[in-house]
Amino acid sequence: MFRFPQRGYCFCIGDVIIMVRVELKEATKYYGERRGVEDINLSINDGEYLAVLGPTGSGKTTTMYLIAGLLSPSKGSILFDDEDISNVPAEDRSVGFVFEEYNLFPRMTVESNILFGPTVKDLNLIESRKISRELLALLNISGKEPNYPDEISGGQKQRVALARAIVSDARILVMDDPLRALDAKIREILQVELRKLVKDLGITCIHATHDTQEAMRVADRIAVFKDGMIVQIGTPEEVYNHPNSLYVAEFLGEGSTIEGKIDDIKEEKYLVLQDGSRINVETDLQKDEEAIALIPGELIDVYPISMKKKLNYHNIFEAVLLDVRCVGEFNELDLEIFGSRFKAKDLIGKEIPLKKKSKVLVATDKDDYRIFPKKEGKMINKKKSDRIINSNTQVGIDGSSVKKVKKK
Amino acid sequence: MVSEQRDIEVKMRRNLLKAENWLSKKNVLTAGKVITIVIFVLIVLGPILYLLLQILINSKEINSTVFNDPILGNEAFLMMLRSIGLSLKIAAIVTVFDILVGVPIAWILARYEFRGKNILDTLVDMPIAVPTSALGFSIYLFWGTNNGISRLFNSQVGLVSQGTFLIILAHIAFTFPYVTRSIRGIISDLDLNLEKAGKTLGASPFTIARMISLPMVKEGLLAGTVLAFTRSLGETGATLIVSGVYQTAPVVIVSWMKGLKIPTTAFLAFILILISLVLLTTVRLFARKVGLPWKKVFPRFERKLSSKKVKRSRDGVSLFLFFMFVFIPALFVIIYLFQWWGRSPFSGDPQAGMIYQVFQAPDRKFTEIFRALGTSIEIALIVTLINMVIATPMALMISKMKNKKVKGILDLLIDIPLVIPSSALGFSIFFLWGSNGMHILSPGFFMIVIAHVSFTYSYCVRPLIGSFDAIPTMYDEAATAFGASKFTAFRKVTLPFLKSGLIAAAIMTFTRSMSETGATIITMGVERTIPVLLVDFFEASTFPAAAFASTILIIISFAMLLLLRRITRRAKNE
Amino acid sequence: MSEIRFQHVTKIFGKSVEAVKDLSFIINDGEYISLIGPSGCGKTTTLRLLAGTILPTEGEILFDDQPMQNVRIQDRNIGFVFQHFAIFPHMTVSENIAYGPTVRGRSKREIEPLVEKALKSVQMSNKANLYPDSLSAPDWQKTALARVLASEARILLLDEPLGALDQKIREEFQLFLRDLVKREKLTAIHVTHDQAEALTISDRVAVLNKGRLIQLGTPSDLIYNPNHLFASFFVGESDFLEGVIIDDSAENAEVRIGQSLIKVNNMGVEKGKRVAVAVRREFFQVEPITTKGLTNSLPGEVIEDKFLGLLRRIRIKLENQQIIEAKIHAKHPVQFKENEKVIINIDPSVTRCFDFPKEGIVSALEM
Repeated sequence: MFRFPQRGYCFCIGDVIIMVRVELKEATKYYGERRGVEDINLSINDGEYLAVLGPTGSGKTTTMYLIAGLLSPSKGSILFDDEDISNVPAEDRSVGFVFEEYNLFPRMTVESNILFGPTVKDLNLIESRKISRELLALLNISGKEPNYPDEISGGQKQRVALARAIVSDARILVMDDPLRALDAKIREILQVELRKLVKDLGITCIHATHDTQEAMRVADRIAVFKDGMIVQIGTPEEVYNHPNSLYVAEFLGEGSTIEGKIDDIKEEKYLVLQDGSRINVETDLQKDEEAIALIPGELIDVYPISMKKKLNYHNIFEAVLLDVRCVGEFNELDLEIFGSRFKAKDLIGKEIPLKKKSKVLVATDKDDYRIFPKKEGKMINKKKSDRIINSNTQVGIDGSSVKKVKKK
Repeated sequence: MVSEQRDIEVKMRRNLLKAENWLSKKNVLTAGKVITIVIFVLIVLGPILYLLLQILINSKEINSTVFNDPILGNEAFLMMLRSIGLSLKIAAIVTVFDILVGVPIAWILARYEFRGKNILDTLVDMPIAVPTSALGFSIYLFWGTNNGISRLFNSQVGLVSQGTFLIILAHIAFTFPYVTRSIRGIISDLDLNLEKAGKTLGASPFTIARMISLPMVKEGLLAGTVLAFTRSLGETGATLIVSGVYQTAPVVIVSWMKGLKIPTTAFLAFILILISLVLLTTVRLFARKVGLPWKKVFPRFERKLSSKKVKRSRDGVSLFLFFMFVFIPALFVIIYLFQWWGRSPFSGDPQAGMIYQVFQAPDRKFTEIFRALGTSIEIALIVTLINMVIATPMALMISKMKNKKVKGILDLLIDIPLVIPSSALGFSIFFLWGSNGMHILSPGFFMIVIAHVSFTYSYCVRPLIGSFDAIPTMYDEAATAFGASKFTAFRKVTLPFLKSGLIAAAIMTFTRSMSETGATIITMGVERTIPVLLVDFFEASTFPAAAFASTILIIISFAMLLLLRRITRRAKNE
Repeated sequence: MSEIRFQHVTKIFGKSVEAVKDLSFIINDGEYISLIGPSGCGKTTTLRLLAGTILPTEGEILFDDQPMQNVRIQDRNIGFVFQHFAIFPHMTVSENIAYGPTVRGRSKREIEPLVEKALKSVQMSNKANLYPDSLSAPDWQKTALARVLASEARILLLDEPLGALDQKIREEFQLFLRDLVKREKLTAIHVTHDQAEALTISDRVAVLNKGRLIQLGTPSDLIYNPNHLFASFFVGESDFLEGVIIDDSAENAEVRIGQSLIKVNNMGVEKGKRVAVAVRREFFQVEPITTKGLTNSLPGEVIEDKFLGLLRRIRIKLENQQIIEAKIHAKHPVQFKENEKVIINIDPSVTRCFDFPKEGIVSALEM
């Protein structure tokens, strides 16, 4: 348990006392003509862990900078606990900021780095040193205090940066893609550590990332960004299972897309493909509307052809298994269905005797498909539409779309 | 026919590759390295070592001339002490000014975006390219005569007479860029994100500058300070003009040399070289270790210092001082030239005007000027050529060297010509090659060339090391991995990367050679280069002619500087 | 033929920094090998030893039984592909590709077909005369690959070749790269920090840590039969249960973990020894406390059930206070609540049993 002397509150592990509600109201930032973010309405509750998810250039960093005060909004306001702090300079906001490139001060030891905040704020250094020790122990890097940043590894650097941000009397923690520069394995480990630390401290935390898995692993809620605007906010489950647009669906679940027309027979909806195949789906779209369906790879179940009678699914198709690869926690299967290439993912451990180039059964339920009107799909993805839509329909390495391959 | 030609081509290409393969052999490369170092030692270090050696060997003669002269006693030694004392005092004052004004200006140039920034940037660098004798003359005209600043006060005499104060003013002008230049680049390369990090941790801008940015600029600042200090300590050209009866150490060397008092000159040169070397090594060795004082932070006070008002007034004052003490005096000679173009602005006498004095008077000064200009250019070209040949392998060697200790030592040795007074360097070259030493050369064209090669050497090697370092090592690996010998890889891959770096180094060398005074005076014999001619004109009080020569020099250097900037900027953009 | 053999290779930098230590293995002709490990594990050093930019302090590297100690880089018949491409910016694509044969003194007549063939196999024929600055990152890497093909190297060294590419393109490029290497019958050694990439692309994967070779095996070997604590930690995600061997006589050994006994794969660990039982997080079977018929299980308490899309991650505290994570399929019918008591069932055949490291698990796995 440690105590922040200046404010008179304590962070008690597992027993939360102080937290800050952060609110952005119509926050807008333009860089000259270029849009950074527009009309961001976002409210982050006390002690909540929010992930801001989006590709490079979608306004994540701008949002983080607005909250920290490194940028001031062109329009709109930012509130901490209902107090408008839009015009408070960064040095007075007490926002603990963790950068992508660590930004440790190279000429200072780990300890001086961590104590930089308390030093310039004239806090009680003895207390702060105690807190820093406890934090370093929590983060498994005790004993590195006398080292210089270039003597420790990337993962350790980011842990030090995290400790530095917290020790400087931070009211909230803002992290801008903090794990991007790290190796895959360290990233995996730190994701778990981060969430654990933030939850133990009970601090309000905003974490920007471009990595869907990372967002899912760390956050209570996810805000999906696109071109400087928020497309959807919700818990990982909500955004994943009920994406409100093709963009979100594609960003959250790597999958394959198919196009077709909606048909309905006896209350059941079907997607009719060009070659006449019918897929049972669930959608609000009406008959004859053009639609795009996306199915995440992990929702496609694959079985040997002999099991046909035993399966209980809404849709069962025959397919050709092109390739199986074991890539760690799951197997990746390349399938050819309706003349297009599909990628399926399957958790390892389940033994399926499947052979390459053999016929298999592909089984899906009707609620596995995320259906979007074709027009809207195009509209939502106005700018980068083609690239984004195609990126999941297997753009060949030479730029030609594999999808165009005709059935033999 | 065609196929025959092609066969010859293929053969030639194969022979070239074979030759390069031979040159890339380990022992051939080693031999090349040895030769490079021998040349360096012979041309650059040799004279200095020889001088040091001679002083030690002939201590008796030194003793009898410097300390126990039968007539003068130790008068020569006392004079030495006086002049060195004066030089040190001036250098110290000048350096303090350079830092106080130079650091804020470097910050402005690195961080602010404003219209005319490029122009200001070039102006700040200009005193480095302009010959110090022209600079000194211009400053003398501005401060020391009734043509310059005193016109504002309707005074009939100059505001500052020749002497210590005027020397300081002159030295400020030409040492100023060394400090700004050495930290400007570092400041603009500083990672702004570190400052952002400092901000989010609650530090005010002043605290950030002091605690985060300054430690990273520290080494550059120290290097610049040493350069400014040693340049001031060893400057001759401008000092000859503005010193009057007050003699700084380098000026004493020149005047003793003119009086052929070889032993005393040698001893003074020896002491000056020693001081510079000690300064250089101390700073090199301890730059990293110098801790910064004031770890304690005073948040409220520093926050006040960060306020916009304080910042603005600081910037304003620095800019004013720069223009007042560096820029305007340095270029005043051009205004003077126009004042005296056709006739004297005071008496209206056309015979006192520049046109008459240079082109119409019977002594035909313009032929003299253009002959000297020709000599200068000729020397500068030869020097540049020689230096390109001997400096490139050295730069490559230093850049690729793995042994850090040897690298550090070579790196230090390279800088020696940069810090020792050029008149002392010139003297040691005269001492080694001339009649007192190996007696191979007598003062004249070739001795000037050797002197210039030796003191422009570091101006050539330094930027080249930078260019080599900037080439990512993966290109080296990629170049040799596909079967190319080291030489072939160098020709096909490294050289194209180096193009702009080579040109920049060449221009720098050329400009430095063009503008050198101190070493030239000692090694020139009857030859005249244009900066020296300028001093002659000044001593003969033919100011309009001197102004004409100065203006030509300024224009040439300015053009060179612009060229240099264009090339380096293009290289950076790529 | 290009078989590569490492014999007790050690490389020491400076006085005592052991970058790689006692490395011995064989890479067969035409094999695609990946080297993985945390930064500083020695994978890049191994690659540079192969290239000849550095020489081993001890031991020997043989290409086809020929020692390479005194063979210069340019004579080793290797091709290099770098993370940041190292495409010469002052040459066009085809000039870049022609670089190898040119510096080897081939005539134009010989070079042209080589370049053409190389361009074709990386599908860059239409971009032959462009300069690199007008191309995109994937095209740079393709040019680099073509440059290797044209130099007729038989051994391809790839140093994080996909590290500078975006995730999506990366996945495409992996398959492209493997196809190319197999088609051209090259021997490839690929350094990466991304285990998924290594598993996707290679025939065999070598796991390195702190300069030592931990395990060299096929992807499925590494997943199902890791033979070292570090290998099971680094490839995929595992938890390590601390226990003591009670019985080592049967096919499955019996281990006491906290108060419970479970059966694990008998890997020849002696009775009475402290062990670390490695279980992949995907292999934990988590069921409500009421479930019957589970024979090999541990009791635990749920800390958190976190949804991750493809799967759910359940953090569970065991009786002995150790916290483990189970990855279960997102479609698993039961939603677990905080503090809910559960049973974790473990199939003995998926466990791996290692000696418990003296310095403790955390420091043994420190990277």
